[in-house]
Amino acid sequence: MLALELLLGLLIGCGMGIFTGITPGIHINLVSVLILSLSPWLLQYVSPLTLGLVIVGMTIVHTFLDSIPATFLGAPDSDEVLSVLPGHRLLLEGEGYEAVTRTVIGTLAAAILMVALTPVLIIGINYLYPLIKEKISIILLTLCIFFIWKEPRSKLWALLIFMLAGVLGIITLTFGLKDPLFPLFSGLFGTAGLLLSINDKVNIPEQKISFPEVTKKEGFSTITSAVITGSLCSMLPGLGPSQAAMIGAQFTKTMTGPTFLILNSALNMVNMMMSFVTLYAIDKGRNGAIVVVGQIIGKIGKEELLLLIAAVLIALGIGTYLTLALTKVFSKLMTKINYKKVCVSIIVFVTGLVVLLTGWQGIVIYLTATSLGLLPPLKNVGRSHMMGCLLLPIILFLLL
Amino acid sequence: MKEKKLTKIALLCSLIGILLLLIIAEQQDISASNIKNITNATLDQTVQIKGKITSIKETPAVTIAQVQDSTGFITVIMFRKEGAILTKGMLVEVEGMVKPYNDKLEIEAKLVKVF
Repeated sequence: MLALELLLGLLIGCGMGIFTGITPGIHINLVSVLILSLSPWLLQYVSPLTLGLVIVGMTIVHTFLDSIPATFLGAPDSDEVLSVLPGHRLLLEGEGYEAVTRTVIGTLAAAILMVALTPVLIIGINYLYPLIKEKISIILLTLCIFFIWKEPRSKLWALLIFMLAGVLGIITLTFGLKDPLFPLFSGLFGTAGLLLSINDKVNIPEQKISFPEVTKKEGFSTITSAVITGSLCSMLPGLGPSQAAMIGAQFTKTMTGPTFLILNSALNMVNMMMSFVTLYAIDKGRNGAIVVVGQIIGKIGKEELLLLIAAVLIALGIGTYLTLALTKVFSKLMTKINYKKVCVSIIVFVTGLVVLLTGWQGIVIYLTATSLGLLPPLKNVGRSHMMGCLLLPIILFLLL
Repeated sequence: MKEKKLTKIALLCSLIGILLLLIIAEQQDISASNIKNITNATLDQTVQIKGKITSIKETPAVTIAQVQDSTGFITVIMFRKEGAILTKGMLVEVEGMVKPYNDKLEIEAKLVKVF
């Protein structure tokens, strides 16, 4: 009976993951916090484990599916091809399906490898974390300098964007909002890109349905590099998959755009899976949604960890099928629909949510974040420097 | 790699996952977070439950509440400080020690969080 309840919970979560995954601006952390606030009521009807699996299902399916809007929406004008993201570049060449399939390969392969390596990772974390615990601020500071230094186009703009995002992050986190990160991230990484995309004359060409050629060597080196850098980065707060990707790219020879898609998606999954491991080993989840899973379930013991891994495996299969099927639908739809109208409706939807959930204070953060989010694409520097919004507050908090 | 191979791997993952889930769910009980899992085996252990207060009684020394979740209900004993702001219908998370009282089990709350 418990198994049936757990499976049903997982499937409901997967269903919710479809919604959060393909809707830009709806982040799983936000939905997870909503579930947490409803949990005492929900727990009268279902067990904490079932509720935990709802979030796991949603998180895994979301991780697969969010590459669809990331690829099919927000593409800039093809004239700006130098600054365009790898997924958008393939989309503009009519290979959006191939771009998403590469992310599916990365996500699935990384997840399988992470499941297999879980015992090793637990031992590794238990050994390494006490060693670096006291030096986290220095490591983060060094990495931030490294990210800005490695910016190929304008180091000055990279530094300025990092600092501005950092100051905005500090102000936002001291505002006392319930969901401070929602208006911040929606503005920085969501609405800004969509606004630029509306301004451009984007013509999405007819999309081909072709499967990418990924050599064993390319796949192996990319996934290995993702697992190593992602696992190490998960011990440090504030470092997301995009920073891990910058480090990982240093260790992967011949890092082309399509290979980067595999690396980035693999890192997203490594980040997710490592959250389970860190939650079990050092009682710290690095992913918002997984932290909520921990809060609902309580103490994560061996059995709970095994159950979470089982849930991840089931959701992996569902996520793969759903993503491949939905990408085919999107590939056909994209050439028929009015791209501008889609972008405008998403901006209206997200802005509405910000007003509803965070009020006027949220709107101030959201508008400032959106303006700041316009800078990296306009100045041709990486968007990941905007992660200063979390990194700077964390470094200052640890140092002062 | 072809699409068929990818979907085969995905299917295999799901099947292994279902099998693992069935085995774990069959074996136990799993979490002490359910009221039904609070048995003599958890006596004198710290447990954590979440649920709704269905009745509450205050005495000069303690507050006695019935907390219900999807699996059952249990009596929670709170000393004045913890029980001061609680009312019937509130959704709470209780962490405390399982103690026997009149042949029944109850929780002596150490921490009560209201949602």
